[in-house]
Amino acid sequence: MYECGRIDLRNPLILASGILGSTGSSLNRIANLGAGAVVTKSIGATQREGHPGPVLIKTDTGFLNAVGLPNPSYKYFVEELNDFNRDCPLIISIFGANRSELTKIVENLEEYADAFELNLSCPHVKGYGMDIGKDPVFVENITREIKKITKKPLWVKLTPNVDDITKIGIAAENGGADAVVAINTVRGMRIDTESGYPLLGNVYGGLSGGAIKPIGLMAVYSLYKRLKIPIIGVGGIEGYKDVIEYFMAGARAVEIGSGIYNNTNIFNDIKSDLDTYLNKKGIKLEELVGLVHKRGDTKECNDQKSKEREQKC
Amino acid sequence: MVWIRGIDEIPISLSYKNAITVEKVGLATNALFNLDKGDSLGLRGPLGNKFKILEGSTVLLIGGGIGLAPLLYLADVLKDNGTNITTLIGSRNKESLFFDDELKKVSKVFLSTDDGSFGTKGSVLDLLKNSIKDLDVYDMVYVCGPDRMIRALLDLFDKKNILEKTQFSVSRIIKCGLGICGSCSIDPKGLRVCRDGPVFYGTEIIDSEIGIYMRDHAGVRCRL
Repeated sequence: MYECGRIDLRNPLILASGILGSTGSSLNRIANLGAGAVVTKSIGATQREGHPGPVLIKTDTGFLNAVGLPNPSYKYFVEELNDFNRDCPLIISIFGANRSELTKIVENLEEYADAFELNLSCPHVKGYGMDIGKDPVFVENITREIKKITKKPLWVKLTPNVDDITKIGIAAENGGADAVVAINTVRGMRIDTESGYPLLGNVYGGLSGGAIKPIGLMAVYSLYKRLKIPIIGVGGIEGYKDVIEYFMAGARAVEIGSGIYNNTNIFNDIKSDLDTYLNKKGIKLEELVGLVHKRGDTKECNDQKSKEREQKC
Repeated sequence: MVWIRGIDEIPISLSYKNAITVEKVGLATNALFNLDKGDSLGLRGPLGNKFKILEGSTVLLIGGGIGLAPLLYLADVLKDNGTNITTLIGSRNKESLFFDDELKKVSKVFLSTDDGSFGTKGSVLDLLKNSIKDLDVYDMVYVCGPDRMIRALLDLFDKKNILEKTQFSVSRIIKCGLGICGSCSIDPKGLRVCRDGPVFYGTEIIDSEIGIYMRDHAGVRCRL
């Protein structure tokens, strides 16, 4: 067992929200393929069909999606939760436009969740996700309100589509979040050169996959400098070295989403590669958390060097 | 996936080498009928798996409704492989019957309509029981059609103990088409129709939700 954000994970590799998480049997399949925990598709207060297609475009280095938060509402999602085999912890991702929507969802799904992940970061649905999750005051207040009504751990998923993600992270921590998850997808679009139509039905969407790994790493790195609560790293993880990078930047666990496209056995594969790496180095995974911060700040180092040079002159 | 720009993107199989055949059922398919000569579509694919083909074999094709479309393309490919083909076509009525002439060119065809307006009256299952004496002569049975038809055939083939010699092309709400979003997952194994399918052996789906319920665009289970 591996503790992170007040839950005992089977291992630190977690299925990210929105990926094969809309049915109980699909979650079971990923749990059986070695995930340390699974996060459900984001669940709302009312049914949503999602955006018209195309909802997903493969780009050179990742995926651009605007699926549009389709979900059966918390009422009907219970059917799926009842099918879940509990082979690993279950984190229920939730979204809402306001306190009353979120309260209803949390109260009704409380008994099924090992933790909640508050999606304040979906980049392509008006009035939800990052529309409200980019305001630190809202984030702090809503986090505090939800903490009041649930005993379960609460993770807050952050959007990278802001000036300074640490402001949102600090707001979540001040509101009482047990962990932050960074990052959600990065806003983007593509255009059909034949017709001029945007390639996504929703015009714009969120970029995931290898292309956003440096953005995710930078976010985790910055958050680690400012937060006390654990950080779960997400964005472009496809192999064990990506996981190590996120840990070194400051993550205590990671979520994997788009990486499943090439390899549904990605959790088992990364786990075994990680074990090999750690055995060879003779270290524990926890020792990697934030390692880059202990290697000295490059800027300080450069300042020191120029001072030495000046002295020599 | 076929993209009708500004409307939606929908999953469609080929019915000839370079053609699709579409039934008017919703916004996107209706929009397809409003296109003019020379207009273009967006295409993404091919996606998912395909029918497995045995060289020089004897096969049975069973198609219901628009499910006949991919079977015509399959029949053309099988014919080139020297396959001996029999086809069963199930249709609502005479008006909605299609591809029977095309399939007669490459296979022995039996027809049924629900209302008896053409061919045998009854379901394609009745047609199968009446016109095919011995299922064991077929090296493979290929099926495409509505869920209820698939379920009836699954149960029959299970009883006859030939599920491993049957392949079904299955339909669900497909959104991403790449096996990522999970909208087309079928219970209880979480098989993704868009990526693990759309073609499954009978053995893979005999215990599945097919013919019992399916999920709508929001993911709510709807009993059939």
